[in-house]
Amino acid sequence: MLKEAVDATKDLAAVNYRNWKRTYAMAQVSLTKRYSGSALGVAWAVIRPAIYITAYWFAVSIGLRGGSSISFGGAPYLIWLVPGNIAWFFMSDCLHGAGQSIRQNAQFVTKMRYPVATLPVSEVLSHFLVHVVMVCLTLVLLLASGFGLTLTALELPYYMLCGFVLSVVVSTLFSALTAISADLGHLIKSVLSLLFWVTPVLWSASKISLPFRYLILANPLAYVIGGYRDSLVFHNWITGSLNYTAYFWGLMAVLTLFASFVFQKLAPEFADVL
Amino acid sequence: MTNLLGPDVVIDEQRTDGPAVEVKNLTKVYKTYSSSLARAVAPFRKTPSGGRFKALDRVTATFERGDVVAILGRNGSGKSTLSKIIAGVTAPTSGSVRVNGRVSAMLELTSGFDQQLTGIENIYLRALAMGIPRDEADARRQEIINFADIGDYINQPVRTYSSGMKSRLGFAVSTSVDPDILIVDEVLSVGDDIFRLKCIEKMGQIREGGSTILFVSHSLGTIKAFCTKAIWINRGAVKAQGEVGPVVQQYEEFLRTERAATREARRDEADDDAPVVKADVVQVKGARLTDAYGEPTTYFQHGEDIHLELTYIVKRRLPTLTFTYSIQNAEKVEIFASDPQSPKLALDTSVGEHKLRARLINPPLLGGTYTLSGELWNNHSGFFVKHSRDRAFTIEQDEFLGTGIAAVDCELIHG
Repeated sequence: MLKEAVDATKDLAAVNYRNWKRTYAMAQVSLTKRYSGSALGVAWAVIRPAIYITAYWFAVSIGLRGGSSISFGGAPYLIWLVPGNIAWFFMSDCLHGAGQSIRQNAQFVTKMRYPVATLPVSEVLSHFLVHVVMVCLTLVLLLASGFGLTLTALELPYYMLCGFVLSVVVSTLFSALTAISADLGHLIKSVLSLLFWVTPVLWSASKISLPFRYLILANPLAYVIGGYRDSLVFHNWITGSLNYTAYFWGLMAVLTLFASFVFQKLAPEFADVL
Repeated sequence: MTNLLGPDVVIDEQRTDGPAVEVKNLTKVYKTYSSSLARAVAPFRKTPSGGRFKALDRVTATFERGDVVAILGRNGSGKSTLSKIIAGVTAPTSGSVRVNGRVSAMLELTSGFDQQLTGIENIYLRALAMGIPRDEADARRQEIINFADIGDYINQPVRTYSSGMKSRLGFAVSTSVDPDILIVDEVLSVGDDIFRLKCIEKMGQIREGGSTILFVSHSLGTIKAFCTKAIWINRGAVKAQGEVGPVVQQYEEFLRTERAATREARRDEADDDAPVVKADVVQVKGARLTDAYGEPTTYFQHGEDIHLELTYIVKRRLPTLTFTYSIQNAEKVEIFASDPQSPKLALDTSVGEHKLRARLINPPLLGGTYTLSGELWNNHSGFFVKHSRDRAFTIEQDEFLGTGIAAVDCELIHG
């Protein structure tokens, strides 16, 4: 079974490597699809997270704290909120959208021969393109607010890569499960909407007492979100969290094998189900 | 890429020699599950579960380059499954497929369009999906737009299209890529006649280029005119394959029998009144079909005289009595019914037993099963006695003349 999983992983990697041009072009198509037909178009990619972040800021610092100033490690709440949130938005959009990528592109499965394994990757890539813009805007915000940047910002591309890999692996798994079974699709959606509350997006994991903190940090999204904050807000180098990094990549390796195995097993059924 | 379709499916886009498509012992079993969760779990279990539906059963066929092959069969007979497997979309359960050349498939109506994107965007999307470079797509673009001929709709989302427009654009896109193998599944049924003609012309050009066309359609007229080969699939198994004419004829015969059977079943329910035997006036003692030598038979060669031997007894004198007959094909469509007032067919009405032989002269019927019915008919009173009710006989035909019911010979006079 392990050998099967390794072979499946190699196959999927090869398919994606060989078709990366198509994958990229499909990512552009899915961007067009997502934002064409609305007057503000691609501006929504920025407006939507901006509205959410404003609402979160309002709920926490006005609603819960009655306007008293909150700071995390010397950073104002809003500055703390933004980097982690854009990482969250990126990954959550991927898991929602890319999880549906095969079912929603059923015509690529049932009407033509297409490397189906590239569909979730295309979808993740399309979100990643938007995410790069969001990261740039965040950097501008940090500079403009006077909070500034330090050399630790150089770690940001690494954490973006982590988010990308995590999204690709989990989306591949979810897209196969959703394609085969609409029930699993609904289940995944429900779980994802809960995920927000157990992931340290609005609150900080460091304030949780120990046994529970491990539980919270076991969530790989917490590693990526924490990374964005370390790099932009707390100015911590990755050398301070090597154990956590090892855990993240170990988990990714296991998840990759598992997702590839499941995908390859289910793939022959796609055309008969959709 | 390891083939997701299994090791026995080989689609070699580069190869241009050998037959275009070879399928051997192709079997496709669709599994049915009580819930979608059961379906998701099944591939991971050692023991097979779920219900089974055999869509294709050991289909073996070879399609050569330049063939235009009609895939015939009723709905649900496995035609679309076969074309999907050849298109590389779905995996066979067992058996092997070898496809040599670039396949362009137009499977069913929507033919793979994204509903949200415009016609133009879909043209590029399809090119992208087929791995066609952007510059080649640019070059084909105008040709596709011209062929589809849907005006400004080309810039509108495909969801606003009528089914006719979709099939126009779909056909234009599918044929624009110079496929070695073109699969057209039930597509021309929605277009108007002019567009259908245009499509046939286009497919003619593709065929002349040496490509193979697989044509799934219910329009037997188009098939007869356009296809060179045919394969008839019934309940997943090949019933007949070969030259288009004979296969279509067998298929039509089958359709007629089927339709007649359903109609007969319905009629038997509705009509219970048995024929009244007026034995005390006129009685038919016996009737049988024979050949020219009086040998009883129900098989006749095409064009051979059909004889009906008849013995009847007149018990009370009648002013007139006429022999009538009618011939129906297997679908119970009347091909000919004689004139009940024809003086030529007047019978001897003197009291006593009479023997009679009726000769049907050179009937032009094509090979197939037919029935003969008829009466001894009294014109004045409408009184009648049946001599035959759906008496079945078969016309055999060695030489293929054409399709339909009856042969109409033709001679060309030049000048």
